[in-house]
Amino acid sequence: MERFARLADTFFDLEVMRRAFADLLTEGLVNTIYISASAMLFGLAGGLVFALMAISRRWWIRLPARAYVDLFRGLPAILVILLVGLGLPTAGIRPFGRYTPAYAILALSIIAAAYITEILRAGIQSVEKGQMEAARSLGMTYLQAMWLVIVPQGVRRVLPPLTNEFIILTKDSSLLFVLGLSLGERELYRIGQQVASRTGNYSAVMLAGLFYLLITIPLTRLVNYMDTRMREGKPGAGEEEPLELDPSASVPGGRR
Amino acid sequence: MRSVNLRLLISIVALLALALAACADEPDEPEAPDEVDEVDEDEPVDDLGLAQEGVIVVGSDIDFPPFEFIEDGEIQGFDVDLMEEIAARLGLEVEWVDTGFDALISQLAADEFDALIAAMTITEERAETIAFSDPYFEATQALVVGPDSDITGVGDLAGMSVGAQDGTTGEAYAEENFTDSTITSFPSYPAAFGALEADQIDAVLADLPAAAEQEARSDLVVTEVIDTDEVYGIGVQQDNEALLAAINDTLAEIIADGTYADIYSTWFEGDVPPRFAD
Repeated sequence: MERFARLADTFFDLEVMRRAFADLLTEGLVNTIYISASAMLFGLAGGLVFALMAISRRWWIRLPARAYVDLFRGLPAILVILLVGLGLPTAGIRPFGRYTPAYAILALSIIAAAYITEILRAGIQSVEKGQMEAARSLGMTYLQAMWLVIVPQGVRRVLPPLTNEFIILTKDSSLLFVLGLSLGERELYRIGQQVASRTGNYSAVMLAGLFYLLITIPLTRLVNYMDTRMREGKPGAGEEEPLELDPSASVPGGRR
Repeated sequence: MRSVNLRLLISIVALLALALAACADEPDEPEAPDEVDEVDEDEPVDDLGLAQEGVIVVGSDIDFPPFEFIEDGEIQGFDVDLMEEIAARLGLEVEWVDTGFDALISQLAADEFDALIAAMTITEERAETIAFSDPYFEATQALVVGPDSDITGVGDLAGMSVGAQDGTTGEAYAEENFTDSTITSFPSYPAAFGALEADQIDAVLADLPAAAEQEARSDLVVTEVIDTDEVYGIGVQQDNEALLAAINDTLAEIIADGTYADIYSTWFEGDVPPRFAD
């Protein structure tokens, strides 16, 4: 029993949580979302370019994409973060001056792009070959066919894994503490960790965990929903979105 | 072919899992004597409240020269020598556990080790969770800057960005006193000094011994020493009064017979502070 009491004291002290709450909400949550969302955006852009390269028929276009994915999917995230956040400025390359969050976003984007390359490549290649052949036979160039025919079909299939990638990215943003974040730049984990090293109490870290769940659980539900929908076909036939697609069949009492 | 490979893979994974389980089990074992009153009925335990007879498990963050660091595969430093001396006089062998500075206190409280020594400043906040021995070291803070810096002291810090290590008294001092500066905290001094060398920050506030060591190892410069009145202590669990008393008595002995001064001069230049001289 004493052990449980100690666990409760060290990890679930409500008073410590209460004191950290405002910082976690107004600074940590905001920065975590800002950093992971930006990294996701840049990661998508980079991933799309590399994915298109990865399915090229020319080996010298495929090769750099392959190497990029192998390298940055194979390295631990914390190492890439250090390499970008500390290595670049040490080498005198400082595109963002001293603004650490920008280096952090760059590092996470690089990692995300590697994973997203594979997701998009798989998505594009899952579209039947005949689609490309048909588009080409209508006189489209390779890029036109890719952009107008193949990619739009692939995108639907890759939405669940992409959402998953965003969830992972959100959690990886907790590693940014290695770069040193100043007041106002701190993300969720950093704030909790700081309380922990000052007091030896991990309750603020646990509260930070709750905030992560606040971001990740809705997204996980969304992935599951998309997955189900994809398997059962488009909505309309199912019961998933009856209100939007068939207003006449709405609940008694009409629409609110 | 495929099934053969699969079987091989499964056996490797199983082996790994077993090895992992074995590793994980080990530290669990000496956990039984947690409450003092139960000690006698359980395993044989000596009166210092140690889980394993003759061995004191000591936690530290072994990345902090010259207090504790690993070189040539060996754990060494001032804290290390002092702790080994204390343990030897108590007839104990030291088993070192390397962990993160921020985890030390809660791991000690959770009985993952018997004591901690980590160049840790005694503070009221920390003393809420663990008990501290008598002071064994007087520390001052040092302001470290790059080789070409215009900063000559704390007076020049307005508008500058100052780095510190997480949870250290230097960080607290910086936040309290350098209100016109941006304070950035790092998980360790090496990380902070790395950022300073990368010119991502303008200065680092660090414990003087660590700063002096860094000055010797790189082209960074200690530009001002700040007296903050802090002392280091050895941490033990709050309910282990026997061990605390034993450490305090032995520490007093070591100071009185001049051994402290010997260890001090192995690691630091200059005179032994009066309170630790015999």
